[in-house]
Amino acid sequence: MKRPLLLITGLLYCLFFSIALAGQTDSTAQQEATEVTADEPALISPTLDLVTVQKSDNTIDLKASLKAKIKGTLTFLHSLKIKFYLVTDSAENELGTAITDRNGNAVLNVKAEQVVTNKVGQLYFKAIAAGNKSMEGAEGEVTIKRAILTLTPVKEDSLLSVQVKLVDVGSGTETPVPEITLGIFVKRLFNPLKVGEGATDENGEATIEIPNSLPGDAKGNITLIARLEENDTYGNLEASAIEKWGVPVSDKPEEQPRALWSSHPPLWMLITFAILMVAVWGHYIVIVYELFRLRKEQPVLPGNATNS
Amino acid sequence: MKTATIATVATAACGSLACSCSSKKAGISEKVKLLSPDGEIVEIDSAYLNHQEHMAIVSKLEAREGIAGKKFVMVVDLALCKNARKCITACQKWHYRPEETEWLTVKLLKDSDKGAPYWFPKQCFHCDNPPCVKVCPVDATYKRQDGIVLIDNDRCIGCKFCMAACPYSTRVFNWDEPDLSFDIKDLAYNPETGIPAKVGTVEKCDFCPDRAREGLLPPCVEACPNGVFYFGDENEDTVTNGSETVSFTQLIKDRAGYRYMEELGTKPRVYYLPPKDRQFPVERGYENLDSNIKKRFEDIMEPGKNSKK
Amino acid sequence: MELNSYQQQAFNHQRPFLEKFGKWNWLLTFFFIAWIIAGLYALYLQIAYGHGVTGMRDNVVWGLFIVNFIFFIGLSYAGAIIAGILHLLKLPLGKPIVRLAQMMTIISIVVGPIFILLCVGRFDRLHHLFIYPRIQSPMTWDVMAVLTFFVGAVLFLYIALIKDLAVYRDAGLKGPKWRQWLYKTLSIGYRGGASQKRHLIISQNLLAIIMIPLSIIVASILSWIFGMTLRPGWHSTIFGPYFVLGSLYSGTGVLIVAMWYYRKSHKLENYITDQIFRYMGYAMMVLAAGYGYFTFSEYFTAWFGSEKWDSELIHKLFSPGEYGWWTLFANLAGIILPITIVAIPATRKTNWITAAALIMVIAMWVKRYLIIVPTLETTLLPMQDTRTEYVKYSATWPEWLLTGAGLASFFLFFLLMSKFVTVVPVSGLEETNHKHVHESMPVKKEDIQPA
Repeated sequence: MKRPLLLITGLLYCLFFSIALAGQTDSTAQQEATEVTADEPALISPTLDLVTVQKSDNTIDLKASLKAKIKGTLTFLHSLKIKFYLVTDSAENELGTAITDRNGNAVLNVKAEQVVTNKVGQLYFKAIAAGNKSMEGAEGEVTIKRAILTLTPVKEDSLLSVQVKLVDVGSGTETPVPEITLGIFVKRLFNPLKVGEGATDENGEATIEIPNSLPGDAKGNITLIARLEENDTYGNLEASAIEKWGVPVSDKPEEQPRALWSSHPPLWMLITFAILMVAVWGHYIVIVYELFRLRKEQPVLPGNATNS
Repeated sequence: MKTATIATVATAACGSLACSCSSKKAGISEKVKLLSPDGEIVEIDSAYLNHQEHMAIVSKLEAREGIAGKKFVMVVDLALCKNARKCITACQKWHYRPEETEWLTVKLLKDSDKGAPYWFPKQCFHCDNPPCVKVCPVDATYKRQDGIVLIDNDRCIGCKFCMAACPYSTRVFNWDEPDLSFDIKDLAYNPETGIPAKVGTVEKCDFCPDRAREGLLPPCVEACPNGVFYFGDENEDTVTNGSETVSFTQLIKDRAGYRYMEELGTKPRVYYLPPKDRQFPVERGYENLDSNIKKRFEDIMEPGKNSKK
Repeated sequence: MELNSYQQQAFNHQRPFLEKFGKWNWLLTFFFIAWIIAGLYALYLQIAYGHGVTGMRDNVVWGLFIVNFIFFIGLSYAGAIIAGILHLLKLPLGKPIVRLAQMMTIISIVVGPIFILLCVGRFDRLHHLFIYPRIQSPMTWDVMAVLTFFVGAVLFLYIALIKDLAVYRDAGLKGPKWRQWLYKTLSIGYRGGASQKRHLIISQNLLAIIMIPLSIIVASILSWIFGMTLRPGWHSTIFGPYFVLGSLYSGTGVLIVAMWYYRKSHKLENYITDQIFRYMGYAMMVLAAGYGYFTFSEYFTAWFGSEKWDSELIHKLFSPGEYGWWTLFANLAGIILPITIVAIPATRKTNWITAAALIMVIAMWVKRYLIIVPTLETTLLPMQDTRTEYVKYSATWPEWLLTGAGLASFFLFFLLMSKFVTVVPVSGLEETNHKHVHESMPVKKEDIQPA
């Protein structure tokens, strides 16, 4: 029991220590240590936001985001342990822990089978960050209903679309969810790009067209993502599929052309340069040769034997 | 008990904001003093400070060739810039450069006498027909297949021809020995990170390719409070400012994106969206500045104040 | 080595200068070495503390060092062209001054590149120029050009010296043993025989033929370091010819000054005659007119057109608060003055011509400064920098010390060389000047008798 407690305390101490020095740009650790003892910062009250993402593989991502306003600047608090709980009518069951990354986010992935709904068919999640000497504790909670989002790509001649279906499975039976707006995205290097949007009909279904000239990977594959974002009841939902519907973009290494700005000079430049160099240095060589001939022809006179 | 504490502090120091890492190199034995939970000052090997601020280094050859299949492009929304200068500080922090070194700078441009002044953030344009690369005698600055123009500061001889050739005056020079903090001065140099700085060489904005390899946006893009910078891959036709992700061609088309001084023929890879329907009046970016930075723009914002010409 | 009586006379007259060093020369030598040592100290500062000790900053990245580089290299190219022309045209009037022209060529091509080495940020990486060259870069062209030209200049001077070296070798001069050994080795056994002469003439002509176009090409290459950028005042189509003419012009000036100095110090009035000065004056006048024409074209075209940066540059160059007075000086003293002095018969005298040449040389140095620095201060984007040293260039004392050291090396090399070879070449000298000797000094009796 003592060891984990020690670990947490140590982590939080280090947090206190780092926060107190958040403004320092150039300091040796020695300086930092003395500055810490000199400083007496007020207790920080962080906020912990908890959101969920229900994925099509029957797992749920619990995302906790821990941040605080320190000296007027919004700072993401990293390397802190967040504990995730499922709150049922009877108890708070710990689901697991995760450590916040450099952006203050901690993600725990739970299997849908592991979680049980409460009396009203909802999943009640809680996340707690323990406080320490310099920071108050923080808590975040979210209640969602279990739902499943499915994505089916449909291709008719040159018309590309996706069929999405949103089904509420929280109360044991499958109920389609109507009039919900979903976005269709395509995966990109940094953030996904929105390519379509649509609302579900009374069957919880929607058919959303997507453009057929989207750039894909080298083989023309694109990753389609359907997303329900920040819904009050269901939280976030996501489903994805890979299709060969993109325009292929070669990932073969490009060779640098011969150009003024590349590492390879234009051919005519190379040739001109070579000709000039050969012409001039060629002259020099002929001249030096003539000089050697001159030296060879020095007349042999008495007393000349020492001539070099 | 004490060893447990020290070990705790050491692993806890993973999270330390103020202490950045020395990287994957063997044999540093710098000692660092930290405060333990008991209030004692303990010394630990800096090798335990493992916070990886800077990403894995690629080989020199890869740093020369670039990332295949990508063509990085940036779009700057002049209608949103209010000279908050958070981009500048974020860039300097990421690259361990001092306040005076501005790879990214914000100018106040006033195109004509009666025209309205506007804030103009300018990095390197990573031109497709770069006048700087043309004149480098040793191939120290080079254009990669992903569009980025980098400088290899192990090869640069400091002749400054590229600085004379760049019409946008975007390059800076290390005139003095740079002040390197202990944790980066022994890092293995790579053109993609640009760390550590080397005296007598040229440097400039590099579009942070080391971050792009990890799927991270450059710090200037992330730090801007107004989402002024859009960054992305032209081949994917997508640019994002962190919160908004849009099609590059659509953005340029809808907002009449243009390139600065297009007539010079350098083919920049940075597009600007005209300062139309601006979110902030230009004075907002001038009022609360430090006095020495304010002086830069005095001539335009308060004409007649320094009637010395 | 056979010399005719006139040539023998010339040699006997100059012989004492080869045999004695003299107090005055020792004084000068120590003075120059002191400057060079001071320069080395400044160099140490630059290497130890970085280029921040100079006045150069991010906008004006090229300052005094580059100005000196252009100036000296220009002299070198001019010397080659002048010597080449004089040789090919076989002008008897030109023979006494060919040696000085060639000395100027060699010495300048050694001193000039030192300045560009000083300007490079990483001295320790210069070999990269040869391991990783990019032939699209004007700087690579310049490196190759200077090297090629240097070899040519050395060969040029050497070949012209061979005959004289043979004379010195056979004359039994008083002096250090190693100098005698040098004469023997370097004269490669030349005895004046017919077949040897033939080889010599072939070499000389070949070299002269190639040195003139080579000089023009390398002078243009020098200009293209600036001409190939996109800056106002630099990106001009006539930059190549502009620099060629400018070099030739300032080289003529330096040659005139050198002629005057050695005429005085070596009492060479009979050989470097007033007539030669007059003709050099004419050459200077014509070149001044040519250079003035180019300068006027540049400024007038930039001023007449409305382009923003050209207008800004012209304003900067001509406004009294900025570079106006310097521009006035450079153009008046550099162009109008020499033309006037030579055009008016009353002032077409040796001392006047030399004075004009000296002032012109200084003005041409200022002109080079006006080409480099104001353009770099006229950035296309507004500087908006509050650091004055970034906005306006002002050279620091290490830069001036090094400039002085370069100048001192230039003079020192001349001094040392004049102790090794005669200033007026003796072999091949022709007697055409004999008639005009009376203009300045009467011929001394002892000069006519053989030594």
